Amino acid sequence: MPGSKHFYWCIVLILIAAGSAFAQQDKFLDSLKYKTSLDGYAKYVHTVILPEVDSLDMVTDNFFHNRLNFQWNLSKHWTFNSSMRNRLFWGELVRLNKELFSSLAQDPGFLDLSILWSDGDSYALHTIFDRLFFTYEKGNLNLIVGRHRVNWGMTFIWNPNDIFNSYSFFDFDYEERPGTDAIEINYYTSATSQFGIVYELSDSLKGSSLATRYRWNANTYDFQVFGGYQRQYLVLGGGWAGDIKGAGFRGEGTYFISGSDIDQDNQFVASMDLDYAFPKGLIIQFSYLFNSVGLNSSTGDYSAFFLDRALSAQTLSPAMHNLFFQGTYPVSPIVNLSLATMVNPADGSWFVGPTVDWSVVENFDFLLTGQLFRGNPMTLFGDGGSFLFMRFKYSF
Amino acid sequence: MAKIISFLTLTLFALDIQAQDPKQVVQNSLDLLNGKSNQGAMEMTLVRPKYTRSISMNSWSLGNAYFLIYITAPARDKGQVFLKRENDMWNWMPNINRMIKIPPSMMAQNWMGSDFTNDDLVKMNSLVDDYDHSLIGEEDIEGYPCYIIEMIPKPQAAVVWGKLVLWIAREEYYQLKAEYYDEDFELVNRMEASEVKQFDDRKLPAKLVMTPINKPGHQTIMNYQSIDFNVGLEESFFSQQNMRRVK
Repeated sequence: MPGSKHFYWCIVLILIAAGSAFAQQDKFLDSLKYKTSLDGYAKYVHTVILPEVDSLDMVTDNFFHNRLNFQWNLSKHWTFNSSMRNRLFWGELVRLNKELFSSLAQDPGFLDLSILWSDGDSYALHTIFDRLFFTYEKGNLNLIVGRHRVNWGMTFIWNPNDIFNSYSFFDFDYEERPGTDAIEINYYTSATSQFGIVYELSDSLKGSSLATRYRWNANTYDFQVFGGYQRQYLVLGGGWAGDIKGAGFRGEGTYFISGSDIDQDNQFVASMDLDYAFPKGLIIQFSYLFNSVGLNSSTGDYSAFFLDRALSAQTLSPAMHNLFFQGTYPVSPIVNLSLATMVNPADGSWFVGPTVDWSVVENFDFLLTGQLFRGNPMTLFGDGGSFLFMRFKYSF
Repeated sequence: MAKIISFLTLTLFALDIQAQDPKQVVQNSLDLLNGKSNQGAMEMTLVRPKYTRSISMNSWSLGNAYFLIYITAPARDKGQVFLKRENDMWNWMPNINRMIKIPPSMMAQNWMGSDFTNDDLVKMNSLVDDYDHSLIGEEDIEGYPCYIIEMIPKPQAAVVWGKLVLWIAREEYYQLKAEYYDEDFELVNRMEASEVKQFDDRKLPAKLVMTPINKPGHQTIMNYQSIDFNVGLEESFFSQQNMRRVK
């Protein structure tokens, strides 16, 4: 276990909060069941990886994944939330990537809320609190302090506006995403508009972020604009979500202006979505991502496959143009089929991901999904290999 | 003589129709069902030949224009919130802290896999303003004498149905039966209401069963567990801020 001062500090805070409530114990115990809630899920994921396209050599991996979401309504105005993500990995992948799993002990955030309980030659047991925050709500004001998800995305596949927590389409098992250690203040200016400021904590000023956003609705469209400072970049962005003749029409773009300390071009990242739901249930989605500093050539230095990179709104894709298409069809209320594809038009490499999602019984879901990356060597998806994931999920 | 009698009958029937304007009957039934505002809890069960699934929710509404729905079960979807304000609709997903604008094409889709569309549930279309109403007969349903009212969508109304037929109790204004026809006037769904119970200050059918006509063994059952009427909700209650707060 790491010497994690922040982690203990948080535990102490929780205990103080709990202790003061225990002072009125009877009343406290009585009201506890109405004031707290605990939910989450347990998943088992089995992964088969075929690293080479023309070879059947495979690597297998297993992990057990548990999530516990706890909410405590402390008073009329204060709420406490925490989410604990516990994972036990075992299998060949752990054996082959010792350093990767050992590095889980390092919490990438300001607070250190990561615990690598144990890691052996072929297993690792890891816990991280990816949510740990207090919310204060009074009148039109909302204040959130601690580790929480700041989600500014408007589109579905690539989110250049989501500057605090980026989402990766390929990381399908972690839609919650890591939290951001931040102080967030929102003021609701009407039923459908809000003004917000987020300050992301960091050990140094250079590593921190401060951004402010205004979000509103007009003529059945949602809009947002934001600006601020993020890790040595000035950021300016905006987005919308509305419809054209019933079809969902969304877009977002962010301009990153590099500070004098870094030798980087300014960068513009933008994406646009179109989606349409047919009455019988079929949903089609199209998305395009533009990255002004991305590569636009038939071969590039993609040797460090981008899945391994720390994801941010600036590194959603190393290619300049990216296309996505997905069809989703509910065969029945309990079985959902989908097929997703991504293409890099500059080098012709592509990704395809078929998925079957089956609600076996109430609260128990089975998911089977493949991720096939294809293309010539040194292309965006060319060295990605093939993945097959099998997931059992129990929600409670 | 026979001619006179039939003339008299016709005239009397016509007078009766005028006395009970079908549009007003529909309006009265909606007023009974919705109050000015209401707050309730319900469970929706999908019945399929080989399985059933249930969804529970708390709901708040103001007239036809404002709805807020909080999903309480199943565990996988718990905490999701839907907000409708006039022509806008949003979905709040607390696990990813994301507000999603729902486009109109999604409204015609079945809601969470049920036989109800989003449209049926949040009443995107007004049963009063978006249709032309005519009284086409009378019939007893579960012992209640009912008006049978045919409703044809107005040309400019964005309605998914080609025709609706409603059975509304003459005295009590319960909506006891409804038939939904597609654009070719083929019968698609039949809704039947039963189990009249006391809810707050009024009696209402507690159970609605929606049966798709061409799908044997398929049903969606809506059970109202509680409804409180005229709870004093204002338009400002139906806000994005409250999507994060309601339970």
